[in-house]
Amino acid sequence: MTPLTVAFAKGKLLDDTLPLFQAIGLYHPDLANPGRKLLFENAQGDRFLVVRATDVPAYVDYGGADLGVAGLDVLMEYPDDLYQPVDLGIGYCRMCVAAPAGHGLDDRPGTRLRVATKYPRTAEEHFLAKGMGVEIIKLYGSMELAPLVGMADCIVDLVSTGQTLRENGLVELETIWESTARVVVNRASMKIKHGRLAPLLEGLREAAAGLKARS
Amino acid sequence: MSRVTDLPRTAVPQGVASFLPDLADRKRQVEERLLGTLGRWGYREVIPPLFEYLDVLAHGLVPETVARGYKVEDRQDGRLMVLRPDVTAQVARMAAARKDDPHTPHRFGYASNVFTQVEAHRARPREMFQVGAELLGPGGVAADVEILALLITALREMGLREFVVAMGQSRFFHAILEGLELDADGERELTQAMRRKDGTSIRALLGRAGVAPERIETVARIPYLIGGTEVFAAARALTRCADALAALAHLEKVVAALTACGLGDHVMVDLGEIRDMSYYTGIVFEVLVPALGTELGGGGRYDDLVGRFGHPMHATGFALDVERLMEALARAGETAPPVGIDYVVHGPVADAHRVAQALRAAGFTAVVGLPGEAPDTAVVSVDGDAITRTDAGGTPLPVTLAALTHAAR
Repeated sequence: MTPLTVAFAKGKLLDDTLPLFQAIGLYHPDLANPGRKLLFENAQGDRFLVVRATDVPAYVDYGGADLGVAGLDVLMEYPDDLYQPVDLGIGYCRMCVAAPAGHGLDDRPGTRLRVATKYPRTAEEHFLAKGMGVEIIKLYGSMELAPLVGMADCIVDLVSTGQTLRENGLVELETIWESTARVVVNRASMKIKHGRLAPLLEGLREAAAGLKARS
Repeated sequence: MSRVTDLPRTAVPQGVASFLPDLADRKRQVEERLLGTLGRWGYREVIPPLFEYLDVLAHGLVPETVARGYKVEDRQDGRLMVLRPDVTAQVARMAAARKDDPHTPHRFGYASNVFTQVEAHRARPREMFQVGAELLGPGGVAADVEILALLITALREMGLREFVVAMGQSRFFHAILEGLELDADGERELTQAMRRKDGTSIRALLGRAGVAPERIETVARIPYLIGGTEVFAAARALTRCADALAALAHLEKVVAALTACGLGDHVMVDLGEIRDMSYYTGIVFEVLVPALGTELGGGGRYDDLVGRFGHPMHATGFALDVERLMEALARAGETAPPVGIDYVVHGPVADAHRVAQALRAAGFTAVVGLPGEAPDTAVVSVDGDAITRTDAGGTPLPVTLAALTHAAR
């Protein structure tokens, strides 16, 4: 059997992903509590990596892993297209434009729209496609602050429940896209290891459909 | 301090490489062996120019290649020129320029560098070395079989054993696409989703476009039509479109012929592989090896390209990335030893040159010893007619010139 290397995203997404991979037998029992260990190998010779969510596309793109699990939000920020044959339906969130309550995008003191975001690629593509010139300020966290202190007119950020926005007096103006976790596969592996991968991907599709039916 | 202006004196731009002798040897051997195979198949080398008019060459380039090209202004007439980003477009231009030559097929080969701008920190080169072949003039199954058989044979003759040529058929997907009657945005989105093998987006966007559910399921299955010849039966069951079925039958004939030639072990089918449809018009393919996460090269049929330069003709071809091939060969343990120095000849300068030249004439690599010469080489000392030979770490032994030049390498 051709051994595979799988890249999983650290954090909450890992908890939701593991039952689906356990269902198809592509699994290592220690993944549930990975601790500081980064690489696991099971008895069949399959290897599992636990990496930062934003690093999953690079591991798969450059062949460090044959397949991985990444949110569409992460894939949209990645500069190249990867094969994404299965939508796992987990890890739902949406990319939004949000501004302080009572403010539209047009009522602003500055001449150009200033956008604070951790997702510069998505934000830029969204506004440029509408022909709007924008100034992007890249931040690494707590975007909600930027409009509150007058540094930006709006933010582009991921929202899952909307709780954080509400607590900071921001409202969603637009949904750019909605995201769920995808199985991504390396271009070469998809073909060279197709015999091993095809039934596993089908199994994941069924496991994801089963999960959706139950919820 | 500025990182832009205060560069070390030996700095090079990101994305270019300097090859010292061992690597340069390996590169030259790969290129020469590939061109050797091409030559034996009648593909004679062409040498296109390093730069061309951008607006002329752009007829044969996809927009992304144009966008990423390195452009310089021609001081004579103010027109933009581009450092060659793609040799196929140049070969198409060269073939179109030979309108009056009634003799086709043209069989051309090349070993060239190409240039492209890249994003930072993506581990992609800005200067790439390619060896390629183009078959211009005839279309049809026989021409497709020839170019693929040449590709597979060239890689085998390099010593590469484990590789796969994954073949698709852009005419198949194009026929299905036409039947869907999407608007331009819809076609673009479907093509992008197909390239990502993203069944979820395919279903969603065809649903929004009002395509019938059973047809949506058909299209959503195409990206996963991967495997051996069993794929053809699965694909035939999906459509009644005559153009799509004809495109499939063509690919099936090519695969059958390659198998009959004993080359079938390397062939697989991926009907979701469409590459760039503004460029490719028929069979497309890419070369993959297990140890490399990316393709070694690829190609396909581009029947519209030469016509864009004013003289339509069928054409197909491939290009291989020389550095990736060098890496694949090294990983497979197929790297030939670098060409070393056989003898260092010491002695009075005229005597040393006389003996060194006799050794070279006998096929050895010989240098006349200069101060600082590497110590791990056989040393020949000459003084008039007296010659001694000292192997690395050994003692000097008297030897005749005849014995030296007749020794086995």
